[in-house]
Amino acid sequence: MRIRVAPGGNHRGIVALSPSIQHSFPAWPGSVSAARHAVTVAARDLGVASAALDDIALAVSEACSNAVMHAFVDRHPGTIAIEVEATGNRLTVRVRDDGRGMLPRHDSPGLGLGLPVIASLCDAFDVRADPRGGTTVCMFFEIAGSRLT
Amino acid sequence: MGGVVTADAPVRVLRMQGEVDIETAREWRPELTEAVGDTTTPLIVDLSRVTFLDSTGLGLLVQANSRLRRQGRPLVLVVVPDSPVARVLEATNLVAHFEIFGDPLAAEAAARADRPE
Repeated sequence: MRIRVAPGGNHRGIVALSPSIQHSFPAWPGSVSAARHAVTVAARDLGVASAALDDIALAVSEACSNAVMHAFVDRHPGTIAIEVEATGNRLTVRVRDDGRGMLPRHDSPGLGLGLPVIASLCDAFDVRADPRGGTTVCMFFEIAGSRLT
Repeated sequence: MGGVVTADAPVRVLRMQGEVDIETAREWRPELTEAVGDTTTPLIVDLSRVTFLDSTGLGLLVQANSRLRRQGRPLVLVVVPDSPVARVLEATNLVAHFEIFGDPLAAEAAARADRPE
């Protein structure tokens, strides 16, 4: 597990370290389970309480499954990059793929419920197109009662 | 539970377990397809030992449910209340889509009662 520590700052000039945990996986079906577990471990290590871990795991599974199913339909499977970051009471989980970008599909193999499920589990999320190609799903979880490091 | 004429009628119980996601869902597909194809035997899918289920895993159950409904019978599920499986069924708004029981015996009774005549 590689931990990248990115320095930030506040108005008092104190540098606050905001650790960010990153993982990378090939965009295969078998990677989705590994991504869930990596994020669960990262979230637990950051102080997220057990009750919230199931929701986070499910949201990550939906986002990664979307990348596997849709991002590489016209090409070889690429990479899914996961980033977990904690600031204050908020946990941010980013799932980025380097695929073809989000496009409507009439032939979707799934139920089309991934994004609505993500919406019901996190406090906010956005889907961004990467200028280099690919898509990032960014999910925000307000973790009440946890003390995130 | 006594006094029911069909108490001895066979019921097929497909016990899924572990994590059911985009990778592992396909391992259950053949068994589920066979069970759905056996139109004379009521089917229960017991999810009480499933530790994780997402919408791709659910897709398998939704498909099975559609086929069973065309045969005139619903898909009966055993789901532990407040489990991760219960959570994803609520999050996807699919609770009303299936016949869901927390108790395997109640599920069995319901599955027998639903036999198409």
